[in-house]
Amino acid sequence: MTDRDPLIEQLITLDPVHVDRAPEPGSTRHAEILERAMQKTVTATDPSDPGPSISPQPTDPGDRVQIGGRWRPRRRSVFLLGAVAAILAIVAGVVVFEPDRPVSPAAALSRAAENTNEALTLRSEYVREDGDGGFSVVRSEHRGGDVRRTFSVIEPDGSERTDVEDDEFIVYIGNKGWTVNDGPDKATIVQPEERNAPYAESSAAIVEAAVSESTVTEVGVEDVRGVEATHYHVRLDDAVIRRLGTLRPNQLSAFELENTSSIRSLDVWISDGYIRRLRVTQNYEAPDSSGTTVEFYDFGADITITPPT
Amino acid sequence: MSPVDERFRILFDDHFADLWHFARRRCSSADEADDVAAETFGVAWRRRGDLPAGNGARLWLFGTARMLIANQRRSTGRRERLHRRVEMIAPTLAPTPDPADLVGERDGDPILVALATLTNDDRDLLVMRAWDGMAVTDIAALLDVTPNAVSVRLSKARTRLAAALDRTDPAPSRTGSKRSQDPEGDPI
Repeated sequence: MTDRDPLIEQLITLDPVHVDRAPEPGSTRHAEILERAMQKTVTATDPSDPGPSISPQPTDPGDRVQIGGRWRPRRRSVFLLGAVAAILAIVAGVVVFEPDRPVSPAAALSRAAENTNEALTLRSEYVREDGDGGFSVVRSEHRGGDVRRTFSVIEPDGSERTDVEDDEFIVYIGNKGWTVNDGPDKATIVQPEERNAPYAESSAAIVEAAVSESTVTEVGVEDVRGVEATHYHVRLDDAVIRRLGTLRPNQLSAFELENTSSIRSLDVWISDGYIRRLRVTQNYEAPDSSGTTVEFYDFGADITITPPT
Repeated sequence: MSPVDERFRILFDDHFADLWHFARRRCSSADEADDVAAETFGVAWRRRGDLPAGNGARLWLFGTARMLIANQRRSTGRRERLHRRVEMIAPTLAPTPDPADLVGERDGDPILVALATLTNDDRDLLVMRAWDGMAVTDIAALLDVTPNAVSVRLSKARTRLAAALDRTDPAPSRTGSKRSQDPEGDPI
């Protein structure tokens, strides 16, 4: 669905607030509403509040300053970040031009993120731990931005069944999507920002936002789908969480990371210059076993995406 | 004023108009929208110490307003009034625009009559997209579903709206259903 849809445009013209606008700031009604709101003096933890649960995004008032009624990044911090970035750039330059020195973990991860995002074809398997010993699995084949997906559920006893999601698209080609019930001629227009970003793009964005020389440590070499991959652990601090919070919503939603402050750990496995596995753990509903893992394989495979028949 | 109180004032200034409009689209009068806005910001005032930041605050306000409107409908028994005013499928009580309000205000504009015949879920999605102007990812966060699911549901809701409009006002110039095909014949 797009905003150029004539039916939606027709509906937009009937929006009630075209003729009934919010009270203007400075008006009596505006002031009364604010006064009524601020008369509520029940404690902040009042369990009778009807509001949804609050998942605070990471904020540090010390990093922001009020300018013209809005909070803006503190300029001093921007200059400081710029200086740090310049120093890091110089250091990185030294690393690059000294052939005897190994590539740093952060640089290796950054390069792997870039390569993975740019791979023309690949396959991926996304697994979400459901908290009851079971898993939800999305297997995808990618060619450029085109994707074919299958959904399944692995029960706690290990058995796997296909999970037919009739409100999820199983094929994307360009800006068209098909659900399991759609024939080849029945596509829906879906703009890129209206769907989860491809896992390769999301993973690359997450890795790029999270890694720096000070946050990455090498854990060791491990097997990922038969490939020896180097495992890196990314230490999470407030700055990393903040950077993750700046990613596009559809990049975060691909990993169900709408609330970045819930992220507890981040691990990346790379091999041959590509991300092979990315694991994110967070505490949302099942603190003991909540996590999502995506693995990438079959880079460069002969993959063609066609509409469902 | 403490920093926390000051941040509440900024929240109020930044989001008041959006929140009031969100409420107005789901209430029968401006007075009711005033009440919903005051109550919603009242909850935010009580919980001002731990509100989310940025777009998260906006979505939290919308979510709170939806719950308050749903509670209000349960307590006032508007379902009976709805049955008196329009003969259509009675929706469950949910925080969507009340069909009775939709039809009553615009004196039966065909597209609003058609909108009023849809389920609450369909109506809610279409209104969030068309009137609230919410991004698919924001709707997904508010409803706690994936953006993909929102896109699919929106597409189906739009198809059902076109079908309902064909039933209530079959004139081609009004339905939009024929015009909803792109050159390749795909429904948009």
